[in-house]
Amino acid sequence: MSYLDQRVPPKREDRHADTCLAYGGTICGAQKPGRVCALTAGADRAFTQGSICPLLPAMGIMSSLPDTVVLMHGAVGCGSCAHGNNGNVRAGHAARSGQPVDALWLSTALNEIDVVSGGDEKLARAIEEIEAAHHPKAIFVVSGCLPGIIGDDLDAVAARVQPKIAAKILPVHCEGFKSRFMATAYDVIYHALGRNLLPAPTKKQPREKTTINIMTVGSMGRVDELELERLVKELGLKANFFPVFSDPDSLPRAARAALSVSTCPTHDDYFLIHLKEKYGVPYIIRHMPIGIANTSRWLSDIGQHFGLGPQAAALAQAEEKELEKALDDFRPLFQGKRVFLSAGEYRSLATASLLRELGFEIAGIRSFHYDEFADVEIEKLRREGQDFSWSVANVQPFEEANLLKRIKPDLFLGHWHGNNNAARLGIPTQVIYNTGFGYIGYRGAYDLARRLDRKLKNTAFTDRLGRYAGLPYQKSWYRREPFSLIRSRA
Amino acid sequence: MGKNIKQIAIYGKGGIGKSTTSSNLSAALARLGYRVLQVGCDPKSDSTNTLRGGQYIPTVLDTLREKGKVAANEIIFEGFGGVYCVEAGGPAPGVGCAGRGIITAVEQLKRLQVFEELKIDVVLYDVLGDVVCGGFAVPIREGIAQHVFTVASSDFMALYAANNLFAGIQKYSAAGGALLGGVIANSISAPYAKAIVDDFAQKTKTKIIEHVPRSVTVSQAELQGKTVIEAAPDSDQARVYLSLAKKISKHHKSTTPAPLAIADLREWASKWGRELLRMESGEISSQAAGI
Repeated sequence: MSYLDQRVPPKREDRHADTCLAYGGTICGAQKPGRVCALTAGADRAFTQGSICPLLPAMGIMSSLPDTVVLMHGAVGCGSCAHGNNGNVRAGHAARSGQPVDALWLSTALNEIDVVSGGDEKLARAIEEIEAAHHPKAIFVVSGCLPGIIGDDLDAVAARVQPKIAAKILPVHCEGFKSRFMATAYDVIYHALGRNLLPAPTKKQPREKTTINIMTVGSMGRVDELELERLVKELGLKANFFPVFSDPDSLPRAARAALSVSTCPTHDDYFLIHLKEKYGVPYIIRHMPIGIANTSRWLSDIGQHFGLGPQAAALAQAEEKELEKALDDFRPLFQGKRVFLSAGEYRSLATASLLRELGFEIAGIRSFHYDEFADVEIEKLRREGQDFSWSVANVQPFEEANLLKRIKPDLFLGHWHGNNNAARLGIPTQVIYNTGFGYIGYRGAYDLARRLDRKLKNTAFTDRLGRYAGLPYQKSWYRREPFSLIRSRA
Repeated sequence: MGKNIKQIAIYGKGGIGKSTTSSNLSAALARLGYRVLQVGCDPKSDSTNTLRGGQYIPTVLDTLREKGKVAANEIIFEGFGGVYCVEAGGPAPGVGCAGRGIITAVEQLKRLQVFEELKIDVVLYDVLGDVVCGGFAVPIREGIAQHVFTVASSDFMALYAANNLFAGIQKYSAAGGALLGGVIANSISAPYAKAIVDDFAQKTKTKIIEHVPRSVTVSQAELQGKTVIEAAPDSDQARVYLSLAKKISKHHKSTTPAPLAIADLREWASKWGRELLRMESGEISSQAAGI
């Protein structure tokens, strides 16, 4: 039975037994005989700081979908992370439709009496109110922690109310306490989309022979989609992007596509497999189109699938040639500069390949988690004879601060909220989750190089910040080994 | 606080006779001249029925749900012998969180400060006794009740529940929680029944405060919606409850029980199981076994 046949999706750590969120060492040190990477799945920290629950990335994806409303079923604070992401939602809509649109989310704001009596009735009323007030195409009904504890039945409420409601109701099981892996959020969202917005499979599945599903992640912008669209168009293929910013009505097309291609394996595997099993859509889940060689590999895989291998190779070659020439201006400044990267598992490792191509040296990487998908990227880096500090951490700024003090990199790349430690230590920082700028594909490599060039030519801001601002940790912490609070439960 | 209010929590497994015992105890305490408040902490909301002629009363949580705020006169009702009755209430079966319901209801009572106003001598909380979650432990935490009595029969499941309760008491004992007053052994008729509960009390370092025999008088009274104290004040059963009330009114020193570890509890139960089987098969008589 498929996971999607069940009401509640599994936790990421149950689906991938090797999923790990605590490791500190080097990328080569994680290797064991016969295994690319042998981290301890049960490893944890004696102290943890500043991590997030899966609701945050889940809200990020849900609130991007046009003509939908997110109904947060929980205490009033749950889901408030949506406000922090609203700028991204507005900009994403503006880039796609020319019109900035705010994320629309409401909360059942469960109070004490609701907790005692159960929140099902309040939820049903809220769904009806949303329908009357906003007429969306779909309503995400999201369970926070409270309904998960008291046993509210989202699916039963959705099924009961659905006949009265034109909007499609999507129950989303995202109780924050259930999983510490933010990657669980991706599965949770795909679970809701797959169960509710895909058509029933038919015996002879209709097929659009030149359409490929390109699965997007929240940190990709429209500019990145355009780059991938441009490339596959050169091969005569049509791109069907989802789920980020995709219209709920467009999802059924995913079941008719000729191929699904992942842009981030750890983000996409749950849904790719479902599309294959239920609708016979083959998939490729191997490379992330970040970095020059990675983009060429990504493109080559698609070309080969459609019998267009030579065309894809020729395209890649032409693109690489043009790009190499354009990058020449930047390389002298980048050469030998040491960089520290912080990002989601796959993206952090793929970005390392890109920065190597730009001439940087990798001083360290912090990946938000580890699972088997990372192995292919780890091997790429090892093949180049690379070894560097590797931290697997669901954020954990205290470890990062200690690590950065030791490594003293020349540049730090991280998510928009994750750059402050580095900046306060005087390290120039670059936001990687700035969806207005390109990052993906050949164009993304160039765009990133251009921004890094600007950043490194004038480091006055972080120089001053480093001189006058500090970090709150005591000296005794910096004397300790940065990973000394990791405990292995094995 | 003007005078020393004795706050007691009566815990017991569902169906063990905990509400019957509580109501009869409240009625008996009232007959001894005490001003008593009984708080039913069970979503079924029927703890105080026999003090009120079989009538249900509006619960704290229902009132809170409807009005957003509760006043004392909306939730406190006078019953037989002047016993004040309160029902915490709770969710419908299968939804919501009954444990949180108890927390909320007890908080409301604290807020209303009714004990002083009504010059209460004894507050009696009647609580579902499996202590399945934190909410059901509220009356023994945070200095609400001082003494806990558990109603148990010789049924092993009832004693398992009692043992769980003891574990809860032990857990909170260091932090100012209630201590154990003793076990009220209920429905004790067969000779071995007394032996089993006595043995359990000894093993867990507590005492049996009263052996309450099984009695048809209780059923007769309850069918009339009354306590035995009201319906049959001169019966033997009424005398047992009065004796219990006297002991509890004089009870001052509770202790920390020593719950059995799960493995020990199982071993203890299976030892008794073998014993009972031997008795049933006639291998030994209860007299010969010394019980």
